Amino acid sequence: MENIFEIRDLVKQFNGKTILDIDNLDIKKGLITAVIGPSGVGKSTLLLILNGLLEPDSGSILFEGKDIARNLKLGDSVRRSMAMAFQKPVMFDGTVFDNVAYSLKLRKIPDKEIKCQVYEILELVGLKNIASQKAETISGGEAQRIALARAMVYRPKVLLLDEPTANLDPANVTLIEEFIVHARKKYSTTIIIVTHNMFQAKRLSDISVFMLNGKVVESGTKELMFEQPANEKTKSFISGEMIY
Amino acid sequence: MEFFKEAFVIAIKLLFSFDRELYGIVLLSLKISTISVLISSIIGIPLGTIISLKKFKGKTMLINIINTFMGLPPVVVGLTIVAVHGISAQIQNTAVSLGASKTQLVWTLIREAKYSIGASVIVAFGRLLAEVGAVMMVGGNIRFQTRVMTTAIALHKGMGELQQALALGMILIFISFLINLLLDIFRKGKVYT
Repeated sequence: MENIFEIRDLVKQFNGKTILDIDNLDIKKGLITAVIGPSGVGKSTLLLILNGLLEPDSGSILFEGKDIARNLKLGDSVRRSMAMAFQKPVMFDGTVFDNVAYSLKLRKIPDKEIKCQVYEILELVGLKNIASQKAETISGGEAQRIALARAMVYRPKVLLLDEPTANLDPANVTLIEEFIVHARKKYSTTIIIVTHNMFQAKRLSDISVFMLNGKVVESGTKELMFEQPANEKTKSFISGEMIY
Repeated sequence: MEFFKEAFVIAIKLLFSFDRELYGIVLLSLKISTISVLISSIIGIPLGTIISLKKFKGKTMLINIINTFMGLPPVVVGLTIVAVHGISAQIQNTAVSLGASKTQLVWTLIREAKYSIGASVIVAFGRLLAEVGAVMMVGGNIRFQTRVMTTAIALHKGMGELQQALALGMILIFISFLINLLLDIFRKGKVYT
């Protein structure tokens, strides 16, 4: 299977402390990759770097064969083929419809088409009925579903999800997970989901990557990762032990 | 107290006298302040947003210089910087991650900070309407030509006509209040109930 990302010798430091130090990591096109590990091991930093929101200190990231880590000219065009939903989504001032339509307006899509696409995706996340509601008045679960709809509405090649279901109730978790599976199936989107919830990783992912202290400890199919982990640390993490 | 009462009566009389000269002065004050605030806003809002977003050497020094001149038109730049700084970094990240270009990001942030920027425009308008030193230096105080409310007040005060000056001051405050009220209603998009 084709790689969409090829990450080599990627290093990111903050105030002299190494947050990320990945020697070698490939992300397969069209699959769901779950990046798991305890809090603070650099999972979210990795997503921010892949999305171009943070610049690495060294190393390379090939996206469809082009190095995006250093080539700033590629910035906008590469970023426009990705979308990211954050752990704590923020809403723009305006209605739910305005929020979902935002990325389409950036791409100068005609109004008629925007209307069609926004209502279609709001229906998918079960929020068509609140399209005209002020975004500031919605609940946390609804905000996360809108953030997902807002990210998926322009059919990005890559969807980056940073703990999309943290602190949500089970009903919202189910809805969001169903949407993620649907997005991958219907649009063949490559999805990278950062989560500390290994059960979620097991439910959703094709490939799992286990990170610890900024490094990739182990990666492979979820069957291998969860049933026959090669590394002792991975084994401890998936059995629910505290690891450092 | 009697002095202020009389000044107040003069202010009311002047306001309803429909005196051509007085209304000319008031209209010129409003015209100049409106043009100034428009120019300041057109330049100041995008510039303030860009300064707030960009990281460059000497940024702190530049902001300090702008703040030093807060009494002049750069007030819009300075207050816009504060307004945009107040927007959560996550809004910026969200816009960029959804594909906003640099220009689109600037407009997104201006839209997100519109209430605070609206307030900064109101402040700037107030400062401009009450400006006296710069007006005197640039335009002088020529009757029917460059005489505005503040220079007329300065003139009456200089001539010892203190009640007349105070009355004009009261009219200036009243007009300023009315304009701020209108701008605030416009900013909020609703009428007070």
